[in-house]
Amino acid sequence: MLPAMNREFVEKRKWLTNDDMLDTVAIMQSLPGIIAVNMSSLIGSKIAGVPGAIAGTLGVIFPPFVTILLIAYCLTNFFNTPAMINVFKGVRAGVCALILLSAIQLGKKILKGPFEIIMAVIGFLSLLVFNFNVILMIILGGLAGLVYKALKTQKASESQQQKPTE
Amino acid sequence: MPEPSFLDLFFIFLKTGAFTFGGGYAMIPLLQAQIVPTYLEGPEMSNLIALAQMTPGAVGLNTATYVGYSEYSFIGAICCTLALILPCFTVATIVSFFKKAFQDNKYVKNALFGIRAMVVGMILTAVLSFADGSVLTSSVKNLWKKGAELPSFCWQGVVIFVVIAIIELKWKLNTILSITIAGLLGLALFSL
Repeated sequence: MLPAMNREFVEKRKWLTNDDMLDTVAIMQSLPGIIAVNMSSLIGSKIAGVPGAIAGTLGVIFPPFVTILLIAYCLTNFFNTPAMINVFKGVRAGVCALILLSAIQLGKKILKGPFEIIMAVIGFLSLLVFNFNVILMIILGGLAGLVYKALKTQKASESQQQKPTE
Repeated sequence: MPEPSFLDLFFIFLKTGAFTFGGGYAMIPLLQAQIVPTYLEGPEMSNLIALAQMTPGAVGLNTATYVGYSEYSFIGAICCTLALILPCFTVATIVSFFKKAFQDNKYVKNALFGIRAMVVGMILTAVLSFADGSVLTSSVKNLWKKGAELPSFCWQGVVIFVVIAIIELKWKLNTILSITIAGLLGLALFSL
């Protein structure tokens, strides 16, 4: 999606500069929700303020929305046939594999230290075994990150202060 | 299975849209945790999500449209989809006016640091929920429920799992193509 947006907004229509695009990409990954919507809101807003954001977002969600409604409308009658049930068993097995591989890749990028690994384990167990409120867990995860990093920088500045006396 | 009230469903998607960080697959465990097993069975929800992955567009958006449609028809589809994007749209638009304050903000970075790590674990639970009824005969959660049937492996599901994993590792096919292959294999193997 990114190269397409670049071509359209930076090169063809010159509504944004390259720097604008880079800023946008940097921010939108830190925002909650769907990346496509964040991108279109940020870019739309830069180009034409709030109406631009609305227009961009509605534009981005319109095609898949219509496609899915059509598919849902047509397929609902077929969902419970024995053939479809087997198709979906296969689909679920395939998706299982795809998500696992994606999670492993993500894990390699993110789980670099003991804190991260502990957080992942907590996330895993909280949903699988304990059925904790998932929204609450996300909030706790954010708080844990804040506290952990704050403690780490505090420790780092303390040991720096000790160095001159050694 | 109780039917979710319209408001319940709206808030489920609103919360999901507000608290998903890391896009893509990160939304899946959030949706599953809120909807299963209260409103939908595990395999049912997984089917909807799988369908959402097969159709073009973000999986979260598509799932909102599907679930909204299946519970409350056309109006449900519109409202659930809007509920999902409302938080991120609002935050993104506001942030676009305060970019300097937001960019390189260390509190944002640190909070995301914790959340992203937790989400990796949560995505692994999503892997297990897709295994229910496909790779395994029932949910992994039955392992600690008294008196429930213990899950065992389903050879057809295992075969498809391995085949798709190999295809993804070696050739990295388009997701829709891979899922279609998985579906056809399912039709073939599970019918035996």
